Amino acid sequence: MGNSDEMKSRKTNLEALQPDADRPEAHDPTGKRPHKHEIRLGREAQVRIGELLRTMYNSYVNQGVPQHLDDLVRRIGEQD
Amino acid sequence: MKLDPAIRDQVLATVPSLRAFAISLCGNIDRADDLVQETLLRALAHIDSFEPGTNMPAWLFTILRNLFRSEYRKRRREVEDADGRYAETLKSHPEQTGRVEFEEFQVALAKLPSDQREALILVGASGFSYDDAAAICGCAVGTIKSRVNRARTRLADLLSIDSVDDFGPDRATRAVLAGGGRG
Repeated sequence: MGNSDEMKSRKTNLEALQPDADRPEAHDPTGKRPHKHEIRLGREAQVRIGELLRTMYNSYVNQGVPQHLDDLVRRIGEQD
Repeated sequence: MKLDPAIRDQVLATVPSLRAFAISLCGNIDRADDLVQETLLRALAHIDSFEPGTNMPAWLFTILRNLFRSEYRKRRREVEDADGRYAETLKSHPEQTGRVEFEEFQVALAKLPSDQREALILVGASGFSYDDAAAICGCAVGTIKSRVNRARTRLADLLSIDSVDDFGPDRATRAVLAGGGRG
């Protein structure tokens, strides 16, 4: 994939992959909303969902390594 | 043979995010810790199959994901969490995010099909590329992109949001005034 490096360099892969400005419905001159199954999220909604997701995830990451898992890895690592 | 300390440190450095992935998948911290422990036992038992210099997090996430899927098949109804027990077990409420909003998000995330949830977490939170996420899930890159997009759309639908204006302290009040949300 030619754009894999670009995606890796992003803070998140969610926000900018499909900017709503590029979507046909964003330029619909009739102003009609697409059918529910065809809805593409606006950039702000995508960003907010990404923020909530990362906030939740990071709250778990920040708990670090539980002691029993740290002990487990070190104990197994010392076994011959 | 003792474990190379460099490899051991790589494993330990991955544990926090591995555990976050497990909690996000299982919705139960105790079960997630069991899953991480089983993943570490399996990984360390087969550490010879890991090629130094390759992607340790992706390797561990793949093992955990496969173990979870095996368990998922056995406990599907619990994992789908239709009654909302998922969010009930997650007592994490980051201060920078409104409690109600955060709880709503957790409940909505739990309602996603597990394949969509794992794709969204891998790409949107764990920081994996679409290529890596596809490798971890054993599917095509296009499948991951589709799952992520459907997950985001479904979350927005469950949270009744079209734009960022729909988030915030007044949202619950507006939902009540609107009679429970959009049709």
